[in-house]
Amino acid sequence: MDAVLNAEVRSEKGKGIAHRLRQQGLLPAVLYGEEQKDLILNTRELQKLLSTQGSSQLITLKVKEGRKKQEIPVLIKELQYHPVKGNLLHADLYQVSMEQEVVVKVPVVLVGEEERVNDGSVIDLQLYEVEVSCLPANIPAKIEVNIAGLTMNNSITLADLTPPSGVQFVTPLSETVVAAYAPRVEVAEGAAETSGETGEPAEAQEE
Amino acid sequence: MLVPKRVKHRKVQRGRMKGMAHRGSQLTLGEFGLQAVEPGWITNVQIEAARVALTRHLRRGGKVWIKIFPDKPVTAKPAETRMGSGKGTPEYWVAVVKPGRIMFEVTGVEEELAREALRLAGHKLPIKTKFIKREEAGGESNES
Repeated sequence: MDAVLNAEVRSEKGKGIAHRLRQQGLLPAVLYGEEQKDLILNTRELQKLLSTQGSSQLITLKVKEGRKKQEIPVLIKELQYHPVKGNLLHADLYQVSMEQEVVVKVPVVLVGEEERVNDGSVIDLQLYEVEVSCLPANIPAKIEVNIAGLTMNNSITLADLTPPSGVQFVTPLSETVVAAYAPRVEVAEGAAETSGETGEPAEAQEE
Repeated sequence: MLVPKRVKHRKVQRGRMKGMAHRGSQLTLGEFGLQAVEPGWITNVQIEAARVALTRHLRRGGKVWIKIFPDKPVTAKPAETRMGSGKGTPEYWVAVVKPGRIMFEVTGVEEELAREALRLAGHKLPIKTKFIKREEAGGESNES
């Protein structure tokens, strides 16, 4: 558990204080699980943590409440982003028990692209995240999928992958993780892909 | 061209486009996307023009998703008609788009190719757009 995040307990609630905090480079957050607390995080600190280790890893939250200091193991449950600007608006932190299994989403990473023989196929990563169940201390940073042997019109499903020790897949094993398909044939000019189209505004018909 | 198969009401009121798109504002299927920065009505003709520009630039390879659907009928009165005598006839279909909405998604191509293809597609639309890509760790990166 290397990742550390500092937090302060927040007594005020509502959008007014949330707006003021964001203007100061701080982030309103909540903690739930065994304890419920309203928190203030440092946005830059959280962003740095997210860029280095992602959002699925265990974090030690150092909470300051007056003179009292507390260390709580947490997972990021939800992050809210601004729809256009993309900046962080709010974070939900979940206090975990180190003895109880948790379900988290772990990113999928493709490896072996250099060794793969280029047969002209298009690699389509269909599952960007896999849901896994494990103890908080065993959460893998990523699930690696080797595509060195992937040929055209074939796919790799979750059943083809071996989970790291102490980790079980929660996502159905039949889910396709990555597929290699033949590239589309270039459409001749004027011949659109969609068939049965008239090009005229259709008459709306009431039911 | 995208047109609803069947609708409950032939004519609808214009409505307002306040606020932002809180749903459909994250990349779901693809690696890259074209995001709306302004609100607007996107007609089915414009969506088709953008799709053609996108697929033509991508040539072979890549996968494209259209994440908006024109389900709103727009009516118009004939030219040089006196006011009154009820609402006009449905002329075309639009998709209501609010800022933040991902309209197109692309995967299976290099970033530079996707960026250029989405730029060309964006020029077919009546609103300002921006390129967006999925990040390996953390959220999505927003770039203008």
